[in-house]
Amino acid sequence: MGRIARARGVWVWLLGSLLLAGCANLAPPPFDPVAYQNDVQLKFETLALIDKSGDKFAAHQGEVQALLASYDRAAESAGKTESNLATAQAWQVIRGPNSAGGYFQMWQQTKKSLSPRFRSEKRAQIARHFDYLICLEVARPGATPATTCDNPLSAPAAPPKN
Amino acid sequence: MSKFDDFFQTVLDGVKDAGGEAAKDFLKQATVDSQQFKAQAEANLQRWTTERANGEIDDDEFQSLVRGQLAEATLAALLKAGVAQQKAAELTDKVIDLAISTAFKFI
Repeated sequence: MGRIARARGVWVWLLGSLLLAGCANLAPPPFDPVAYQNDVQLKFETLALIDKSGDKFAAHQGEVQALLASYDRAAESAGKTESNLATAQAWQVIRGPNSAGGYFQMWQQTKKSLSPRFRSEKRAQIARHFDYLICLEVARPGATPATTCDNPLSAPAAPPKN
Repeated sequence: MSKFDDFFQTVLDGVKDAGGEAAKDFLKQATVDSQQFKAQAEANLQRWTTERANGEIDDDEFQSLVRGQLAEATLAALLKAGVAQQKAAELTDKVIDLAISTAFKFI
């Protein structure tokens, strides 16, 4: 009888511990290979469009609008999961005035051409912004060894390539 | 001391050990990362200032780069938070495994 009571006590404590652990920690969502591939693709498309930003904006307006719409879809998708808050916030930064969103707006609004040095610096900076986002995806539980990211925090300080 | 007390103490000791190690690893890495980020940011700001002085970029472009660096700091913080969240999840898994394996020993 005493043994049964002790066993019951152990399991009550164990269940209580598990419930508390579940409440205390909102675990990140599992690795999503589609979101990862999408982020990598959007980084590639963004850098390719920045490479064209020496041209007149009007010649690439459609491409910019399509890319910004892709950002919106990715941000919306990330925002659907409560525990995916960090990724949703990273998308807010990238779409915002201080990252890719702001760069394309600057390209549209500038009266003169953006300088080659600025384009090169901004390309390297926005690439790092995407690298943080991609590393956030890779940090999720269940990412396979084949999924990699270039963590900017691990890279030595170096000027961008021209 | 009852068997339940023994069980409770064994799990608590295990949690403490697992938590301490994970916390230690995380804090060590966070320190390395923040030093690395600071070094990168300083090198960037120094280079942009030189480029501004040389007339390679204008004031608006300089400001855009500085604002982009602030965005980068936000993203770095989000990445650290995301990794910490993952570490916390791993820690929870360790606690659960430990509690279950210990429970079977005591029943």
